[in-house]
Amino acid sequence: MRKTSPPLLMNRRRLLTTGAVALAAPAILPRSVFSQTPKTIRIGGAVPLSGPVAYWGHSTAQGFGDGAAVINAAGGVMINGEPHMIEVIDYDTKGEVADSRAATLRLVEQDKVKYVYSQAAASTVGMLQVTEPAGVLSIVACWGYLDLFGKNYPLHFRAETSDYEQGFAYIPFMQEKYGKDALKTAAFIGPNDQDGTDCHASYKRLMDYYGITQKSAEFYNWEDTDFYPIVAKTIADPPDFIVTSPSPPGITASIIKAARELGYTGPISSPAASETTTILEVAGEHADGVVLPVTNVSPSTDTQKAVEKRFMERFGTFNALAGNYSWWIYSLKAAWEMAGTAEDTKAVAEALAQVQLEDTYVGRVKWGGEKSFGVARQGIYDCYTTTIDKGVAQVEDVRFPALPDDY
Amino acid sequence: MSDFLQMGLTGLSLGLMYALIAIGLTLIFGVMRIIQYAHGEMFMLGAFALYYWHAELGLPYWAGVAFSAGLIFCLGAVLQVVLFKPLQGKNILYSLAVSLGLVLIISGSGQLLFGTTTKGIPSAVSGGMLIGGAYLSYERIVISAVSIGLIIALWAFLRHSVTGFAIRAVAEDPQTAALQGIRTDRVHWIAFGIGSAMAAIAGCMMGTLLSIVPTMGFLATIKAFMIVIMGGLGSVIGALIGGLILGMIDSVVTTTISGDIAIILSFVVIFLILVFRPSGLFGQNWD
Repeated sequence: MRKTSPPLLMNRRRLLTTGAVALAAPAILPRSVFSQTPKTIRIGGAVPLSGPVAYWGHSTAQGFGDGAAVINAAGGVMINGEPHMIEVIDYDTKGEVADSRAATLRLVEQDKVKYVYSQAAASTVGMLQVTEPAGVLSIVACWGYLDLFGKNYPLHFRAETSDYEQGFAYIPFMQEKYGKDALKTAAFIGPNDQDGTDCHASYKRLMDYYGITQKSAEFYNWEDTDFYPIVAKTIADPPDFIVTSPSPPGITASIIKAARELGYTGPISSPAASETTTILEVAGEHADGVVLPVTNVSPSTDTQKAVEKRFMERFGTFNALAGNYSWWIYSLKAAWEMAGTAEDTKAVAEALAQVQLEDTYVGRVKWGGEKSFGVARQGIYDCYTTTIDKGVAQVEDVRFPALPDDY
Repeated sequence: MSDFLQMGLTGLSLGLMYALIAIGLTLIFGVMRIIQYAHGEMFMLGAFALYYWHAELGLPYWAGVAFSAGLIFCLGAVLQVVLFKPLQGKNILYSLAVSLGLVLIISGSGQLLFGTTTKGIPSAVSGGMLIGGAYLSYERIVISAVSIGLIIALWAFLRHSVTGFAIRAVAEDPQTAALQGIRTDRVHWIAFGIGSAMAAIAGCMMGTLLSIVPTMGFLATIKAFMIVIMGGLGSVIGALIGGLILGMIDSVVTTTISGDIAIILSFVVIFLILVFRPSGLFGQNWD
């Protein structure tokens, strides 16, 4: 005979007891027992979403927004077999040091983020005042302020290949395209701040490496609008080519237009512009002969096409620069999984320096610069060099920078 | 020789464009005695109006300039009636606060509406010519001619039209003008509209020559104030001369020395003018 239990009757006492236990349980038992959702890794963006360099900031933020959605949809970041979702929180720095510092403080103290990304020199300077002392890992696009980069800032990564590393791809390309003898002298045009000064130092180092003589170096104010005077001065003794670094697309376009109108016909290379729509729109028919390193205007691989498609669907817009920044978050994901932690930023930093990605929007990616900066914290990747000819921009060369042994 | 001619031609075209922005500002101050900090935002909106008309919709360039001027005239007139008219006769700080608020609102909205990327307005003309070895693009020639034409037209309007007489009368003495039967309220919104339209046309011209972004108004305001202070608050001819001085300094000093020195020298010239002529080159004493 099968023994059956009496039916469980819910009298008042049992109801009250059950209710009290249910209410007290969250306070007694560990939180993980009740957790229905995976853990979250928060990444903060202290980026210029307004102001003169907002274009760069939006492009960077889009990379993190898209990457987080893709990674989360695929099950998240697996750390020691446990899934972690990524949450991205962005604050506007307006491209100002003080605003960036305030935004980063808010991210670190209020939002408790351990990973912050930023964009451009001023925002990076403000961000670093907070992140490094707080043990927060930072990943940025910034070429200047080299004294704020290297072994004294072990948690600071510069993901965007700078004008210096780019040079080891685009200078050989230009020498092949125009002939070595046609590129014996160069001139530099950049902003008159620390960013411009540092980029000029990198450019000088690059030109010395390739035995190219510098004819002139001119520095403009960020507020300048008419570049006729500074270009007239630059081409008074015409160089074989001009480098405009680190000038954004709008300024680069104005410089190109002025140079062409004033009769300069040599190549103009712009390592920072990374965008062709503005250049073609502003410089018009004068844009021919422009060389844009790390500017992939024609996504060709499956990964590149997928990035472009997703960005168009998610943001309604896509540009080569946003593509360039789309790999950063995947690099972090690889580092978290390699380090087996998202809490220990030092361990993640060590792992991140080892990360190599083979198939991103910018092709192959690795971190380098150990001999130059004391730590491998500089992102280096395939340079998709776009040129403009007869009003049409097209990728003309793809190569990984042939960096010198002492880099 | 051709180098100096190049600098001179560049400085002249630059100065005329600066003057166009500053004349609108000085007209508004002269008539209403308010500091319109959002003048640069009118300059920016004018440029974007032409951008959408000509570059996006493909409509004719010069009709776009007229559309932009008309649109910003209306916007200026509405702003005067709604925001500045109630502040008439009150401390200048009130209008200063309102115009600063306008700067933030219009500039911020501009970034949301127009995006943050730099844009270019296709030019109505292309090519150029050599003058004594110096190159001058047809674009700059046209823009300089438009600037000169507008400045002359404004001068003639103020000198010879009934409304122009009324504007000058209100600028001279609003109370006496009102006693003579001039409707000062009407003169105020007309002057504000004309000043804003001048900024819009300057925005169209500079936007075509250079490039446009929603934040471009700030620098235009700074330049306009430098010129107006140099030339004298409320003086149209002062704004023209001030614009030309600033354009020449920008061109000659930047080309021969550096852009930093050009900025320093611009302020040194302003300080010297204010020391020897506290009301500016052609200004009245507004105390």
